[in-house]
Amino acid sequence: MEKILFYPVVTSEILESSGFTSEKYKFSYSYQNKVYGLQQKGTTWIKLTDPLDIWKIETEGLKFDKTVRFAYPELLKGKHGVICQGAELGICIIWTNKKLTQTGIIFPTSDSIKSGVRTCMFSHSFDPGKISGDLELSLTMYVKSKADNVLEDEKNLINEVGVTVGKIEDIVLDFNSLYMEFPIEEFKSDSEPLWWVEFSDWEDPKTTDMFTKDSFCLYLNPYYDSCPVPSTNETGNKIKNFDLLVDILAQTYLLMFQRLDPEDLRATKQNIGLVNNSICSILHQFIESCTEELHWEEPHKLLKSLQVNIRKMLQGDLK
Amino acid sequence: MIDFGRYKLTFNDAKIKVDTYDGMTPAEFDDQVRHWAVFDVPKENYDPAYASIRSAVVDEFKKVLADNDNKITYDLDLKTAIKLYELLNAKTGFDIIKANDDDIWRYITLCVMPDITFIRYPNLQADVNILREYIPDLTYTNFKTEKNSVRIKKKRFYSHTRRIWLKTLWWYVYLGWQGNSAKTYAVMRNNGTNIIGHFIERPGRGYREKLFRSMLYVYSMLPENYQKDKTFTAAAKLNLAKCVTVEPELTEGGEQKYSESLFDEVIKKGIAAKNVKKSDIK
Repeated sequence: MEKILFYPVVTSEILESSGFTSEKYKFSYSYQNKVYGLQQKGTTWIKLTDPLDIWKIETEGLKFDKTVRFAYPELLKGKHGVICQGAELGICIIWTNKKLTQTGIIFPTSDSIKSGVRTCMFSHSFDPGKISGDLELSLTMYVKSKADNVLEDEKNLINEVGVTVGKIEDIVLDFNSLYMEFPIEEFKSDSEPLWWVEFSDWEDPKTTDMFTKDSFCLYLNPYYDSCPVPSTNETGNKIKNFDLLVDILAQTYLLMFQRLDPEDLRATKQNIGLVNNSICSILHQFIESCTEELHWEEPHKLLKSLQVNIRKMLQGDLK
Repeated sequence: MIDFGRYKLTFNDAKIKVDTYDGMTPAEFDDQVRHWAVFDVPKENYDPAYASIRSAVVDEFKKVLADNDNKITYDLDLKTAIKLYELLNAKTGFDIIKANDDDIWRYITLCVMPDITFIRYPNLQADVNILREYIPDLTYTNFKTEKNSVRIKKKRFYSHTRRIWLKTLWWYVYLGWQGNSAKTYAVMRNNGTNIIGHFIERPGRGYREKLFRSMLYVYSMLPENYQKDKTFTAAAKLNLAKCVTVEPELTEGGEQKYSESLFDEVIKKGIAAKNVKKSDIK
């Protein structure tokens, strides 16, 4: 089932007309009562690094600061906006930690209007032991309070408290995985092949089936010397049999794309009705991260283009 | 404080262990079942750091099983779960990162507490008969043999991340925690085993702790005739559907009011459906 909404949600045009500007996230951590900054690489998919090499998300947690502004916030209301004139628009960040299956809401620490400009400032800390693997931060608008009177030309707008009216900005932080916690198990056996994939029965890969071991798993068999076990070496920057891993991952992605029916594949490519962290949503992010064109015309061409892209992605991760 | 990260069993190692059990001769495995039936697990199988945890959880399991006339019930799951959570929680160094680590649960299941896991989830009726030699009238309400498993239920012991029994118990209590064990038991005692599955296996975008805790609380306050698995299942499904567009925490009154409205809606729909059926009969 695709996510069909019967009310308008925020679009890039609406955002632009509201004079939306957003400062980059500033990430940091505390260590022995001092705060240290983290460096970030990437725009939508971000990798954080610590110049001091102290930080680990599991043991130090993570702090961030973020400021967004709307020069003309009133333009988000009314018939050309997303909520009624008499309603109040809330801004929050919805966070999701896929690895630990956790989600929550972060509210602004200050939300003020000065000379007509609305400024929302966020400052939040995730304590050690709360987050692992990955973190998605979605800057989101919602109906904070509803309008008592809905004007005639606002009848198509949603007027129900708690309903989200669009994502403004979405980033995914990848803390320690080479390929976003791709579900992999090592399984040593002399009677099994070098690698294989097991799929569960998928109900709806766009919404209910998550990109986790519940839905599928790639098994690598270290019984064979050439097995490219996913763990890195001691220095953490070299994969054993890198070329083979690229090939295996490319074939696994091909199998996954082939498992989608044409409608789901279309939704995956176009990001239609995809629930966060669902199989299709992660596949969509994967497609978006590809720097070389994917060739969907025929399976062998797709496989070739997958290999090219996965090689680039993994090489980028290892740098 | 135990360094839980030190004691792990990988998928591969767990499979080897289970394959060893499955590869035993019938007589050898029958003998193994008899050891488990009397809660006999050699101390060498697990690190001494786990001894007191094992002892407390197994004692609770034994006690509740005896109190329930050796019937495997939801109450047995719940009380075992609460005991497990009392011993493994953030205060004892067991945070959600560790609770999410299947390798830790595989160690706990296969090395520390294989006996209670097997008694809770035997795979063959023949093994139930052996257990009954030591646990008279041991009864299961919904006994099923797991496909692709031999004598050990793979999914419950190690292979399915959301079905490893002790892990599901821990998460169930974590998500339903009401501040202390007594309150948690009071709120969750009228639930059923299906609700555990519903909670753990359908996380949606992710677990919303406050929402789950509120939903369980509101459910526990319903009149007893409404406290049925199907009521909860319907509310959980409605919640999943609503969460596509609504964030419960952002609604008026937050998770508590939202949960109340979920159950109100489910109950009203149930009553309406009954009325329609009655009018059809007329």
